[in-house]
Amino acid sequence: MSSNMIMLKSSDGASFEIEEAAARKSKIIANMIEVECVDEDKAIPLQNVTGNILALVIEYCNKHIVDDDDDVATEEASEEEEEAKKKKVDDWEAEFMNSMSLETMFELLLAANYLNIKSLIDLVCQTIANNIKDKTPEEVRKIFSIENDFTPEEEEEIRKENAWAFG
Amino acid sequence: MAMEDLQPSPPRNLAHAGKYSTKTILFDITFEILFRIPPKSIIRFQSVSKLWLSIIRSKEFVDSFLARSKTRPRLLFTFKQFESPKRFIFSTPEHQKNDNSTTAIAARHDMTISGFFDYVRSPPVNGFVCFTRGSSILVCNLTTRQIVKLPDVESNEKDMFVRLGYDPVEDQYKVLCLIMFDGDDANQQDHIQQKHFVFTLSSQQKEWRKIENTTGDDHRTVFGGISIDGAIYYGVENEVIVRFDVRTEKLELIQVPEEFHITTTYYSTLLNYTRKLGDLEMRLWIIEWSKMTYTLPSEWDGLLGDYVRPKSVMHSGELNVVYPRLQSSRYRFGVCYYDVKGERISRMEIPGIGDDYSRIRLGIGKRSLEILSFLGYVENIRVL
Repeated sequence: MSSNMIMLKSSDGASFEIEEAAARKSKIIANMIEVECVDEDKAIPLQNVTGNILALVIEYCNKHIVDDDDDVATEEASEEEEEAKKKKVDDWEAEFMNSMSLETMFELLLAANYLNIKSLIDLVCQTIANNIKDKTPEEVRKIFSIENDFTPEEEEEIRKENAWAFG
Repeated sequence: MAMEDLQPSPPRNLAHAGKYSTKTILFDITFEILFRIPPKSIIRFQSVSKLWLSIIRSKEFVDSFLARSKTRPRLLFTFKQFESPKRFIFSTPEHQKNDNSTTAIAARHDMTISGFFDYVRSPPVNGFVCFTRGSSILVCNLTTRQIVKLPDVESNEKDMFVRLGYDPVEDQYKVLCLIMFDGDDANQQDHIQQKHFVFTLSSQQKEWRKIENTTGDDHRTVFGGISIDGAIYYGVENEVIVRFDVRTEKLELIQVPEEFHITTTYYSTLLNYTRKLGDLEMRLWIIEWSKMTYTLPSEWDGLLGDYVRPKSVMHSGELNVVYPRLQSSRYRFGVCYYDVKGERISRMEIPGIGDDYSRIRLGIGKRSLEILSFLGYVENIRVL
């Protein structure tokens, strides 16, 4: 496989070296490579991603590029092997997300959205969803720093219509 | 991660988390997060803010939610106690073909409808179920628990046949109501007439519209009834099925080849077999105007007794059979599946419905009760 390395530069000036195959997890970067916008000597500037978040994105991409390669190499892997491998990835993802504050998750989500990495968007959204699903609307507002823009009457009406869901 | 762990870090507005945040990104991301939340929480979160409410009520979100629900259909059970005005509704995930045959998945109590609504007339259509009592008709969304009461039809105590249908082109739900009555000449016993009425849900006109029966045939008995791909099908005679096109509101007769012997009994079932119309007795007839016949294996008798009712065919291509009573609590409630192609039977126990504990909690006593079951129930957050 190709082990071309490319450079990424975060908004706060930190540079990261990453395998091209891993960087291609990002559709934006993959497109840049396709249209040969990437100068081998120059880092790709990512103005919307800070260094600490970019490091997480790269950690995720590196982990998943290995998995993709494995899929090709072991096409005839048995069902159990496939399952074991999937469990290993799931465990890694759980551990990866577990080490993060909710604030970091939001920043990572914005970065994944900007870089267009579908599987990372899915992972972060699912983790946030699991975190908030049992919360009350008040708790959700606090977590997301959302201002309640309903009038008390409007809010009361929505609550009354769906009283069972608040139980 | 426990939410408590997150508290020390001061919450920051999502919009400030990245400098490039715009309303569109905020909308997209909130959409993606909400999409992964169970329906009960989604309904609760409508009161978070106007943005969240607008996302949850948007057609795009409602349609995406329904599309995903369709990939994980559920099995619906409903029963009521004779003296009680309560009808209980439970559901459980449909059997997956690869499931171990002994898998037991506890039933979820979805809803209780009060007010003596005795009959469940239609199989669920995209999560909506039609209930009737006398000339009262309700359409209920079991996911949002929205109940829409339709205006009474002037049935004058005559026989009423009510079915719910969906028109995917106009994205509209309609109820078809047939009223059977003796004709003008009361001395002529066979002179039966039908009147056909249609009610469009979510429309400005909250009234029944009479439609013409252009088939020229009136029938005393009407049975079965299933909604498939924009049409409602029901049987009227041994060899005749009526097709009601939900969009154009036209009725047409479909002649069934003689050898299919569609039964007109109370329990006969028109079913949706891989989206083709079929009818089921103790033999399964698959009607796509080709002669495919499956004879149910004799083991069914021993497994469930001769009281068994074949119900319908699932998304996985398996045939679902239930014993139509919730027996006394000594018996464990369950359903059976027959893999038509693989000729394999599996039984799935369903805890949480008929056991002593559930019976006490629901206040339904220990007696045996009639239980109705429907396949292909999907969750839908659409507001009618």
